[in-house]
Amino acid sequence: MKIRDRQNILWHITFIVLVLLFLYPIIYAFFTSFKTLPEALNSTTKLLPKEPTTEAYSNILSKIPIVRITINTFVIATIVTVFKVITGVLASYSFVFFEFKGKKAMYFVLISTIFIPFTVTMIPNFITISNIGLRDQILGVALPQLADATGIFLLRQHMRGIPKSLLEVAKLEKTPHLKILRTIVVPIIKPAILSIGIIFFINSWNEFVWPSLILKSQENYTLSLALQMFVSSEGGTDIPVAMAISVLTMALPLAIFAFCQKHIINTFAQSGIKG
Amino acid sequence: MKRWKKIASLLLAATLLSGCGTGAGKKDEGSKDSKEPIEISFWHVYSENFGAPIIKEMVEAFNASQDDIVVKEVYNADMYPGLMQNLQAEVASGNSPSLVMIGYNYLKYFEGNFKYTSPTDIIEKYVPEDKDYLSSTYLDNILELAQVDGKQVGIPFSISAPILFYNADLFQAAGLDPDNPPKTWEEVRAAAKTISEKTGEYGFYMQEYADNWAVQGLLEGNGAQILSDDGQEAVFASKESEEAYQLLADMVLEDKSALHITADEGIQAFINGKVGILCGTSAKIGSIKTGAGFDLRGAEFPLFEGKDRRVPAGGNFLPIMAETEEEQKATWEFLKFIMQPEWLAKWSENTGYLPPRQDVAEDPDGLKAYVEENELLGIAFSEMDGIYPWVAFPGDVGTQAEQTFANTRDKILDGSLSVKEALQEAQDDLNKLLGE
Amino acid sequence: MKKMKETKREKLLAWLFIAPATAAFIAFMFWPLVYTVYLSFLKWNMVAPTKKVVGLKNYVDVLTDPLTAKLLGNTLIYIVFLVIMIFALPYILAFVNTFIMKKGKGIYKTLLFIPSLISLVVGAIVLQFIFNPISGPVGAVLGRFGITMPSWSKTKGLVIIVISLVAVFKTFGYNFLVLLSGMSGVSTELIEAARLEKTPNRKIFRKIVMPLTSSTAIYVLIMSIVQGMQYVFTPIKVLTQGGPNDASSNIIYGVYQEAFGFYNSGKASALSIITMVVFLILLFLEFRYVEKGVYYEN
Repeated sequence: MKIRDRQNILWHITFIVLVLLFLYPIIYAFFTSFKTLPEALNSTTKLLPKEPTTEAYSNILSKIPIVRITINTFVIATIVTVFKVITGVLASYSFVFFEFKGKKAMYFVLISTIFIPFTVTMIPNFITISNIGLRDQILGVALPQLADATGIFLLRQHMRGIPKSLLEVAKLEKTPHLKILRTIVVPIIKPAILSIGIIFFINSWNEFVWPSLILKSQENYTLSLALQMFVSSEGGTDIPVAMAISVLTMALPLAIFAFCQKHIINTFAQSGIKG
Repeated sequence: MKRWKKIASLLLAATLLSGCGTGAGKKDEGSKDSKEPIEISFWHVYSENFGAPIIKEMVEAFNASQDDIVVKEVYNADMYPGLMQNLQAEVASGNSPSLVMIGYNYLKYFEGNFKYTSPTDIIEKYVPEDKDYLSSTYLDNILELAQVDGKQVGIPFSISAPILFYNADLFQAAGLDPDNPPKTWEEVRAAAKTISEKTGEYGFYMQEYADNWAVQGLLEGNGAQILSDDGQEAVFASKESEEAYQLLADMVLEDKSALHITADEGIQAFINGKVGILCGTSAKIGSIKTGAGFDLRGAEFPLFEGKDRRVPAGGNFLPIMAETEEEQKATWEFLKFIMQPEWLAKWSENTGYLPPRQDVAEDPDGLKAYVEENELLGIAFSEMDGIYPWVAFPGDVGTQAEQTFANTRDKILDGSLSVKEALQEAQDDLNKLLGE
Repeated sequence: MKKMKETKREKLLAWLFIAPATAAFIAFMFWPLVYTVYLSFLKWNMVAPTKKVVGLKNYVDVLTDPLTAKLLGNTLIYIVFLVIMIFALPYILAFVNTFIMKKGKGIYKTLLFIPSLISLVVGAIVLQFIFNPISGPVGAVLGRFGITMPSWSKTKGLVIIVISLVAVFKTFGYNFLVLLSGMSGVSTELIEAARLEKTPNRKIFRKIVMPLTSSTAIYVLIMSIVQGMQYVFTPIKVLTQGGPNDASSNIIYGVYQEAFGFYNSGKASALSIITMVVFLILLFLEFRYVEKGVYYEN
C-alpha cells in the first residue's frame, strides 16, 4: 500500500510539472499583456510586469471594433461547428447503419480529403466564393470550412461501437431512421459529438489563413485577423497588444469551457462510450 | 437535435442579416450617374502599430478633401508576401484593387504577370498637364527603383536603407569609444571581437530574413556584382563577394563574435542588450528605439576600405491596377495627394522610411527639423545618394532564385560549405534556374 | 415485393443522409481538387495571360527535385516526434491518470486542455520569446547550469523539434482529454481483477487497456498526424520560413512556398497530388491491416 501511495505522489508531481510547463506560455502571454511595450520588448526573462498597465486593452478598444469582431468570430465558429456536426452525424449514420452500393468507396473518398493540404484548395475556393458574391462576408469564411471529413471519421468510429442489436429492435418496430438517430444513436455517442464539436469550434475560432484572404473590411474581421493588425515583421510587433488580443481570443472559449465543464467532463465520463 | 436546429437556423438568419448589411451595395456599377462618387481601393501592408494610422489619416484627409472619390484602404497581413498571395487570388477571381503596394523584390514578377497601367501612360492619356510631374518631383535614381527595362511600373513610396544600430553602453563596457563607431567592415569586425571578448555578449548581428537584402549591401560594397549587366545571369561567385562574405563568416565561425540566428530573434537579442552592433533596416528604428533600455546610437552602413557605399533600397512602390478611365484618373489623384511633402514627411517620421522626394528632407515644413533631432533617421538620410535597386532576379523564377541565394547564407554561416564553394554552387543553381 | 421497396427506400435514405456533407465536399473540396489536377499539367501561375501545357513535366520535376526528398524526410521527422509527444505520451498518461492515480486527479485534464484554445500565431510568438537562446528565459535557465543554448532556429534537426513544440502545446491537452474519455469506457473490475493476479501495470496497459481503447486511439493517432502536419505550418511560417536551408520545411509548407512564394502553381499542384497519393496509400494500409484489429463491440 505504501509503495502505491508513493507512486501516486510521484505521478501527481509529474502532472503538476507538466501542467506548469503547459501553462507557462499562457501565463507569460497573460502577464505580458499588462506590460508596457518597452518593457515587453526589453525584459523577456521577467514574468511579472513592473508597473502593470491596461494600456494594451484600451488600445484595442480604441483602435478596432473588438466587440463586433468577437461576434463575427463567434458566429462563424458556431455555424461551422453546428453544420459540420449535423452533416457528420447524418453521414456517419448512413455509413454505419445502411447498406448500399459504393458505400466503402464513398467513405474512402471522403476520408482521403483529410490529407489534402489546405493550400491546394485555397485559390479555387476563393474563386468560387468570389463568384457567388460572398467575398468580405462572414458566410464566405464559413462555407469552405464545412468540407471537412474529420467529423465523419470520428463519428463513424464511435457509431460502429453501438451494438447493432439495439437498433434491430427499433427497426422491427418500424421506427423511422431519423428517430432512431435522435433517440438511440445520438445519446450514446454524445461524448464523441462533444469532443469533435469542441475541436471544430476552436479550430474555426482560430482560423487565420482563409479569413485573411476573404475579409477586407475591419468590421467583418475575425479575432485572428485582429491579432495580425498588430503583428508586423518589418516594423516590429506590438507585443502587449498581441498578447492582449490573444488573451481575449482565449477568454470566450475558456469561459464556455469553464461554464460547461461539468457537463462536458460528465459526458465524457459517461461510460456509455466504448472506445 | 431539435434545439440544435433551432439554434442553427437562428444563427444562420443572424449572419445573413449582419452579413448582407455590410457587403451589399458596394458593386453597384450599373448606375452611370455621375453624382455617385467613384470608389477606389488601396491595398497596403501596414499594421496598426506600424504605419496604418498614418495611411488611415491620409485616406480620410483625401476623402474629406473632395466629393468625387472615395478611397477604401485594405490591410494585408504578413507584409509583401502576404499581399502578393491575396493579390494572386484576387486577380485569379477576376478582380483587382485600384492601387496596390508592392515590395521592390517583387518588381519584376509583378511587371511580368499582372495587369497594371504605367503612371507615364496615365499622364499621357488623361492628365497632360502633369507631364513634368515625375521628372520634377523625384530623383532619377529613385524613379529607377520602380522601373523594368526603363518602363515606369509604379511610383516609389517607401524606401528603407540598412544602417548600423549600436549599443553605446556595451561599447563603453568593452573599452571602445562610443562616439567613434566603426566605419569600415574591418573596424566592425575588430569592434565586435573586442565586445565579445570583454563583455561576454555578442559583438555583431546582421539581419537574416529570408532574403538577401543586407547581404547585397555587403557584397556590392566590396565591388561585387550580383547579376550581369544585362540582368539575365547570376555572377556573384566572384573574388569580391567571396572576400566580403568571408568576413561575415569569419566573425560567426572563427571569432565567434557574431550571431547566426533568425532576424526576429537577433533583433530581440539586440533590444535586450545582448548584442553590440546590429546591421538592420531603418524601418526598425521605431521598434528598436521603443524597446532598447540602453544608450542606442546609429552609424552609416559600413564600407570596404577605399570603396564606395552602395546600399540596396528596401520598401515598396505603388503601381496602378485600376482598369477604367474614371478609376485610373481617380487613383492618380489619390496617388498625387499622398505623395505631397507633408504626408511623406509624416510617413517618414512614423516609419523610419526615406521619402522618395528629395525636397521632403530639405523642406523646412517637411522633415528638416525632425531629421536634425533624430540621429538614426538622419543616418539613413545621409545614405540616400548611395541607394541602388534591390536586385530582383529576372523572370518568373525570381522569388525562387532569391530563396536559393538566401539559403546559401545558412550553408556559409553554419560552416557546412566554404564561402567559395557555397557561392559557386548557388550561382550554378541560379543560372540553371534562370536558364530554364 | 414490399421488402424490395423498403430496401430501395433505405438506399435512397442512405444517400439522402450523406447528401448534405457531400454537397459541401463537391463545392469546396472536389472541385478545387479537379482544378488542382488541371493545374498540375500546366506551367501557369493562375494570373499570367499565357498558359502552357507541359504534360507530366511538373511531376517529373517534383520527383527529381532533391528538395522533395528533403521535405518528405522532414515531414517524417515531424510526424514521428509529434506521434510520440501528442499521441504516445498522452496515451500513457491517460492510462496513469485513470487507473494508477487516486484522488485529485480530475483537475489535470481541465488545466492541460487550456492551451488548445490558443492561436498558433500567438503560440509561435510566445515560443520565440521563451526560446530565444540569447535573451529568453530558457536560455537563461540553461546558462545557470553552464549550458549554452544552441541557436535552434539555425540548427538542423533541433529546429524541427522546437517548432513542433508549438503543435504539441496546442494539441496535447485535447488528445489527453479524448484518450481519457476512451479509458473511462474500460471497466474498473477488469483492471482490479488483473491487479489481484499481480499483473504489472505495463502489461495491464498493453493487454487490456490498449485493445479496449483502440478505436479512440486510432482516431487520436490519425488526428495527430493530420493535425500535426497542419499545425506546424503556422509556426514554420512565422518563425523560420522553412529555414535554415529548408531544414524546417515540411510538405505542406513546401506546397505553400511553391504556390505562393515561387508562383509555381503547376509544381505546387503536382507536389500536393503526390502527397495525397502517399497518404492515400497509408490510409489504405490503415484500413486493410489496422482497422481489422480494432476492437468494436459488435
